[in-house]
Amino acid sequence: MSKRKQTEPRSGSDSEAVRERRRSALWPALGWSTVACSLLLLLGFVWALRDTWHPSAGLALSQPSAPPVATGGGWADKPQLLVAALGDSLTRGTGDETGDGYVKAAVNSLQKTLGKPVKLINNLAVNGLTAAQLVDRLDQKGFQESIAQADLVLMTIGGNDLFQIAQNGGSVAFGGDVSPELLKEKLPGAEPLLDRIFAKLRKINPYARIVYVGLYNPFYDVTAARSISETVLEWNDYAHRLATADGNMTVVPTYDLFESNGTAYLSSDHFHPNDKGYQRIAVRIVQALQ
Amino acid sequence: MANLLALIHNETIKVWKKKRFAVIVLVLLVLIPVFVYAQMKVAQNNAAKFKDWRAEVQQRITDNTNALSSDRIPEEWKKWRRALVQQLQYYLDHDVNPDTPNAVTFTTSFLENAVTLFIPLMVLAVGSDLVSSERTAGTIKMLLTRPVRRWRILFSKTATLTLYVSLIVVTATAMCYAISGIAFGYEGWGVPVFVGFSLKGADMNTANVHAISQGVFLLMEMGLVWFSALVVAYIALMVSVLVRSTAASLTTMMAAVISGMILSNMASSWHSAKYLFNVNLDLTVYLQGTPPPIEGMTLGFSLAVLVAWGASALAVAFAVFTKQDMIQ
Amino acid sequence: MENRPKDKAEASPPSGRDVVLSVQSLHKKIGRKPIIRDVTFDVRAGEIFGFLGPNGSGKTTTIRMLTGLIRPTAGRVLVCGEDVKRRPERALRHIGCIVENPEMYPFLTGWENLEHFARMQEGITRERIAEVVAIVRMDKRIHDKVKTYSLGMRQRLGIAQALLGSPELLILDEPTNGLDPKGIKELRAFIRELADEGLSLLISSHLLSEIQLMCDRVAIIAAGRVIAVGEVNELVRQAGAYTIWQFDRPDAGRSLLAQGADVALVGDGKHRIDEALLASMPGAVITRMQDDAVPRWVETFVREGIAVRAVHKAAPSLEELFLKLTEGESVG
Repeated sequence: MSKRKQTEPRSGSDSEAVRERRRSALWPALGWSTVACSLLLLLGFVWALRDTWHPSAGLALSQPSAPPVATGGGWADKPQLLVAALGDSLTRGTGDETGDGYVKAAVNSLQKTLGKPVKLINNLAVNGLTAAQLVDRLDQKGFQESIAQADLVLMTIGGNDLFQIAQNGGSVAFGGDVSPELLKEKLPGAEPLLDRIFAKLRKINPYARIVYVGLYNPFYDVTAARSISETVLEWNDYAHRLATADGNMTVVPTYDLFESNGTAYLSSDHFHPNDKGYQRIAVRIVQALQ
Repeated sequence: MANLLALIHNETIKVWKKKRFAVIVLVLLVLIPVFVYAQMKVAQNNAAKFKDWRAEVQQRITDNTNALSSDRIPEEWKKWRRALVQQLQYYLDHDVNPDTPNAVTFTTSFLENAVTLFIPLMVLAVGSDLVSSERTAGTIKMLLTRPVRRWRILFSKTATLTLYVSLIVVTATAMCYAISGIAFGYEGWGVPVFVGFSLKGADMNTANVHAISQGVFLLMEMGLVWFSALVVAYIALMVSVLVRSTAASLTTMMAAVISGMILSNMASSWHSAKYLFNVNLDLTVYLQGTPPPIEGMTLGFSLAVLVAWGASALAVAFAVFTKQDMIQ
Repeated sequence: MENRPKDKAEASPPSGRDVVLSVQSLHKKIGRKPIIRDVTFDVRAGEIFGFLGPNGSGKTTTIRMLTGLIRPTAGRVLVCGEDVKRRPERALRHIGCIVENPEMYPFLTGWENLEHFARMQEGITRERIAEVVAIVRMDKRIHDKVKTYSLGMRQRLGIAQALLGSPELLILDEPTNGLDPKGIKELRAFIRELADEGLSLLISSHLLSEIQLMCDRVAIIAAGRVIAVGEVNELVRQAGAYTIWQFDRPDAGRSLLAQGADVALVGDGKHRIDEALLASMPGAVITRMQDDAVPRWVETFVREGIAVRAVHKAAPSLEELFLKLTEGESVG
């Protein structure tokens, strides 16, 4: 144990003092800061419990800022066009493998033909939506705000009311349980709902051009279900009458596409259009708007 | 008492000098910018698509509603989506943007995502070797041959662990805020957020819903995250007492935490899983009003489960440590 | 150590007050297996007490029980009258120890390590830390991280730590393990120094020579049992030493020795003398005889014209000591 008999006088006694000071400062610093952290977190924890079990009145919310509203006027004067889409699975694009549906195709080709930006505000379509449900949804703020901004409204509705396939998400047994008679029975109940939908849309947005995509008979190739087309035409007719009355509304016919071409435009569920079918619908919409 | 304080002093210095905390800070420093960048991309993408936040929220509602109509989605997911749709609708109806992109919202969502895995892992970095490292290094022989009762030693370690868990949670939050603020701006403390949603069957009960500011919300979440982190830490301490090597104790705890996360995600129909501590770690779901992993879980229930686990872990740790033979 | 009465060490009758460490019929079972069986011994004030036994005989287990690391199954350990099991916080105050290797926190400096252990006991001042650093002559490197220390330095730091609380008893477990010869020599001198100041020491070892060099008294342990306690030299004498002769004519010498009545020749396979020693003495004749017979025999050889090149006295090995001590009983 005599390796180092005596230490030499320390040369770096300054650094020694510095080291000493740093070392003695570490514990108070760590101690106090960790205690402070603990207290802060305990406060948060207790606050969370109190707020969950004994909710307070809460923050007063500021007045809602008014969302933008469409102004009407000619499309030619506008720097860009705003589009809202609503309705059922057709507007959503069910059956299209690319997932775009007619809405995106129509918006894109409209942008090209008009030579100005055309923007989709929202696609508010919901699979399996019936006319009655849409009437309710039009009362919702989110729907109203989107529609109010729009210069153009694209929509489909009614298919689920007549064919009543909403429950199982759109896959229909091959014409089996769809009877033309049943369809006919449902028509009188559904028609007034369409009326109410158009009326509500107009109330929300007096200026927008509304494009209603008409119904078609997906079972035209099934001989037993061919007479469904009569009811479909009657519905489209009714929509047409409402559109004429409004004056700023267009009904785009589609039934002929699916009758003359059989199943070429239908997707594998034999009910929704496939991507080609949606493309054709989009073309017709753009044509109707020119 | 002076003695205990001196012991805590010792333990605190040891953890610090072992650079455990420095490693945690380093990990945060690397990972948070990655999350911030990812989130920034999402925000930019949304900003390009939607010119108004209302349209964005409405689109989320619609998209989730559409997903609900599919038969292929499991019932648990539907429950979660249904709750989300109703919540978003509430925000829209009250004209409050549920995700304003700012540093505070980013930090809260970071905490919500970190509570089940990230924070526990960081806590384990300290907790898992508090006792086992002394054994592995052999220093326990010096530590326990000093004239101090063993429970005091373990108590000082427990207290130190508690302090470091607090430091970790606060540091993670502060760093997250500081770093994300560069991208999203430092405002947003006063933005309202709704709490008090509760699930009644399939429907969201909004009777108790009220608005609080993001700042308060963040503080509450920190408190809840802290609590579950403490329970993880105490269980890790117990494992560290029972298992001799640090590696084994760390592996055991990581397996427990990760399996808890998997179990919660499976949202299993295995109902008794709700008595496991690791399924109850995410206390923030109760604040957010999202459905808990297993039906029937409430804030009170989860707290009770966590308290029971934490307390028994400490009891076992103290019972074993004070009696244990230090053979190797 | 300053405040301890120095004359304690010299007080001859080992009364109860002078016993620093009292180990009373200590037993330890691990599972069902008895590891330590009825270990009893006392360490008196001021003495260097050896704790001798081969590896695996239970030395370390016993030492761990003395220091409170392991709880005895039965029996007690009293340090200055305080029970280690019941009141560790008081009993351990009188002990400084290094159990096995002197492991300290490698990420702290030597000084920080000492501060750490100083905080665990009341009344240890900065001055006391500086003092023990000076005692073990570590002043120069004390502010370096322990991970940069050599084993010798760690050993010294360990001793400094053990001395911090001014203990009555210092327990060192195999302190020379891993040290180089120079280090071992320094350590021995240092231990002697500490004992001279009135400190009691308990030193364990598996080397008889080491215990002989350092200790006053010894307890010998084998297979978990104490087989002898007593003065080191007395025990070694009891075991009997060898007298090894080297002649210019080994055969003549051997036959002469064989005729002697006070001499016993030891055959090749019968002894346990270090082979290395014998290799350096070719043709050696190994005998057992009383010390006072040696001069007479030298005279005899001179008379007979046989040149004696060397007479060597060889201590018995530890194994031999054991055999001697356990003669007649089975060594488990």
